[in-house]
Amino acid sequence: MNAYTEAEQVELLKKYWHEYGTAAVVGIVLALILGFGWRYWQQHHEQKLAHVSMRYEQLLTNVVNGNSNAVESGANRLIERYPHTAYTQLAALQLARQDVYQNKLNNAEDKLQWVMKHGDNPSLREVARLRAARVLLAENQPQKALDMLTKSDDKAYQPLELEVKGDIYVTLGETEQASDAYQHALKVLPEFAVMQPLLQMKLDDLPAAKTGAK
Amino acid sequence: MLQSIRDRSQGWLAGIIVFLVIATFLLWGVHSYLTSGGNQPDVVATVSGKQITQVMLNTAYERLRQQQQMQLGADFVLDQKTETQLKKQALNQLIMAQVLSQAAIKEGYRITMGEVEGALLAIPAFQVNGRFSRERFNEILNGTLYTEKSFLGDLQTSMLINQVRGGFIVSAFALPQEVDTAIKLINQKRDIGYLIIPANRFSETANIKNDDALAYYDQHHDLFTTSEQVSIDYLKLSVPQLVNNLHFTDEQLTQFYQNNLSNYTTPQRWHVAHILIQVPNNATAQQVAEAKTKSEAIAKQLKAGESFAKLAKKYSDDRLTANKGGLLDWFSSGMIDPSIEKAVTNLHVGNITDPIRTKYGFDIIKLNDLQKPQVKPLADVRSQVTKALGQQQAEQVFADDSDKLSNLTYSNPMSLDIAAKTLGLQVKTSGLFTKDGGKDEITTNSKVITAAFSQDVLQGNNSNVIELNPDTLIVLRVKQHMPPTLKPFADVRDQVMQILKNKAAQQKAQALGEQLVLQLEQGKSGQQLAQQNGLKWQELKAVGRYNTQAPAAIVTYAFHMARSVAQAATAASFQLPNGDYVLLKLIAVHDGILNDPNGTQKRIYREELENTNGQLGYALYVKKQLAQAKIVINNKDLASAANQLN
Repeated sequence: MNAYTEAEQVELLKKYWHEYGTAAVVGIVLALILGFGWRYWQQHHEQKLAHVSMRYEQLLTNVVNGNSNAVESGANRLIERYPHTAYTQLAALQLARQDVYQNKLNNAEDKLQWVMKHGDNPSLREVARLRAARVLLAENQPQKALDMLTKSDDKAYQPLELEVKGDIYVTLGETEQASDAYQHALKVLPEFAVMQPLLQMKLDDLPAAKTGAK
Repeated sequence: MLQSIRDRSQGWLAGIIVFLVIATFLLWGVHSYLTSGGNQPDVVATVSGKQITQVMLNTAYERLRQQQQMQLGADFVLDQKTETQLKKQALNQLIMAQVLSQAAIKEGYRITMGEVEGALLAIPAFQVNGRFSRERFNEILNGTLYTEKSFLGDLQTSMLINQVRGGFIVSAFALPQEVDTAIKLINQKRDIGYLIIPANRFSETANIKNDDALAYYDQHHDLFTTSEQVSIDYLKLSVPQLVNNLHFTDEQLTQFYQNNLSNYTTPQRWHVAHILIQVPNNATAQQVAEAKTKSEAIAKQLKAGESFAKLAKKYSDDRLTANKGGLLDWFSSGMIDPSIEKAVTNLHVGNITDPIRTKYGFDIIKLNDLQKPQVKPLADVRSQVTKALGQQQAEQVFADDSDKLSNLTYSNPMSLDIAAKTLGLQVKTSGLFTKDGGKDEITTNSKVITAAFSQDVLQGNNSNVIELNPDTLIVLRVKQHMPPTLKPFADVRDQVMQILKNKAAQQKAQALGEQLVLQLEQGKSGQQLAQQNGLKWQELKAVGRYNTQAPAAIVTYAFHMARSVAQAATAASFQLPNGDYVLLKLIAVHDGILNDPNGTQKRIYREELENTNGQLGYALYVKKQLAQAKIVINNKDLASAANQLN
């Protein structure tokens, strides 16, 4: 290591600085800008989510108090300003529920469609799809409802999906397919799920495909 | 040319390296850099990279154990099996919370600390007189192994998870036709006819040959073999037993009493009145100053001779005491805000303090009455003193004797007598018991059973010392060992004959049932068939799902039968659990109707449907998150916990 004298070392450092100094400074500045920029963006993002979370809790209070106008305006504000947060999807689901109970099935369908289109959250997208299919069935459009379910891409919600399919087949008068769907649904229910006695009842209520016992 | 490219690229390289180094610090922060290199804690499991440490598991387990103990009371027995099970359960909870909160964060759910604090203030368990009480809060935290930080952290996690859960459940709806279908189905009525062919009708006629019985016996030795049994001799060393054996002289008692006088003294108690000028938690400096001025003005009036009670009524923000002259309950040291206690200690009865800053605001205190500490005379607390001294001494003896018990039974493995003699214990003997356990407290204990049937003990050695609970130890050896033995055919012949008779009878009942169901389907009436066979045909109209007129198995079966296309009757036959055979005819199905003039019942159905739909949606969500998370459990004994989750 003593191959260089002190003067030589200083000389060497100067040379390095001359060669790489600008690049290093540019690198540091770039890193600082990008780093702080990233942090700023993160902070901004967190603040936004916290804000939307609060808004959503307010909305729930309005739901509980039955203040439907406030629910509607609150949800629409979220949909306009923050269409891509999970809270907004939940707000839209709330709106759909309100529409169903005000007997505006068309509007409910629109809200659910909106969640399916804008949702970044696959779970809520799927929940919306299942609910939209049920609304379509209630609007007496079983074929459209069935098409909607076929597009499903998430197997996790299969038990719910199969039950809706069964209901659709019953409406279409396709007993055998309804029976298959209900039985399949019963089979794939998770063990720790809440009891679903109604599903078994629906199955039991199907007319026998042929005469005689099942 | 080439040289300059090389120089330049190196220049860029240097820049990029510096960039990367700085970026690392900025993105991950110095904090995580410093902590990650420290001592590696004992990690039980990781959930997608997040660690669950032994300490976390122990705390969660301890909380579960306390909970169980409170719920079950005296029925709670902490044996090896329960302990493992509780540990698994605790680990499950931790993993579940970790999985769900990670998923929630990833999906963009957030709960701020402000919301957490808001929720904390509203928890009734932490409130005294309708207001959040920090003393109560700390008291409960101490009792449940929480620190304030860890509690708020857990609260935040559970609020976060609940927000997701609520998203599924609160937004669920039930469409009008779905409600109607549910009402029709749940309240459905079915008309049925049935007859029961009792199996015992044929058991008398069944003729079983001895050879058949012998053949059955040979094929089913397991049914006629007694279980392995042992009886044990054991020595029990326990603190309560030692306490009973101890007797003390008056001098000993007096000395112990003198040494522990504080335990037999009623502490000093104060009875004070106060006037509180409240300052909210997040008060501005100006609000504090205003409260202070107001409080000082009141103090001035008091000094001028105004009545304390009158001013309390007029000004005190503690509305519960304001009308009672500001009087609080009697309290002793440690029961009240420390700053108040400190001020009160120096007061004489009748004195009034200047305003004191407490965490509630500014308080003016008047000492109304004082009770000096009182020493209870020995005569009054004699039994308490005897018990405490006994416990203390017995624990010492227990510690010494347990070592001796262990050594003596280990060095004399073929007998308990020497240990018994040295320690003044009695060898006790149990009755025979199987691996399922016996009848008394000792032989039902799983540790005892495991030891008694262990290889080493069955070979004639003493067992190790077994801790039944921290106060009780036993050592056991086998007194009598009865290996599993096959009972001779002669002894069980009658039993075998009966089994075969029942089987034959059930087969005959079934054959008849199957024959009858064909005839029923061909159009013969149930009445007719019953008469021909000396049986009873019963018809019930409008049977509900929970009807109790017919046996439950028949009602359930009737509701599982498919309704026929043309509303024509369908028939079935099946065996009841007791071997009797049933011929069943489904005559008609009626849709359920609700007698519900004002729609309240319909509403209940609707809410129930919403709830089941939402709950199932959430359950499926949870299952999906568990399947996607990378869960690694390091502890082999608890590894099956993850399987239970799925």
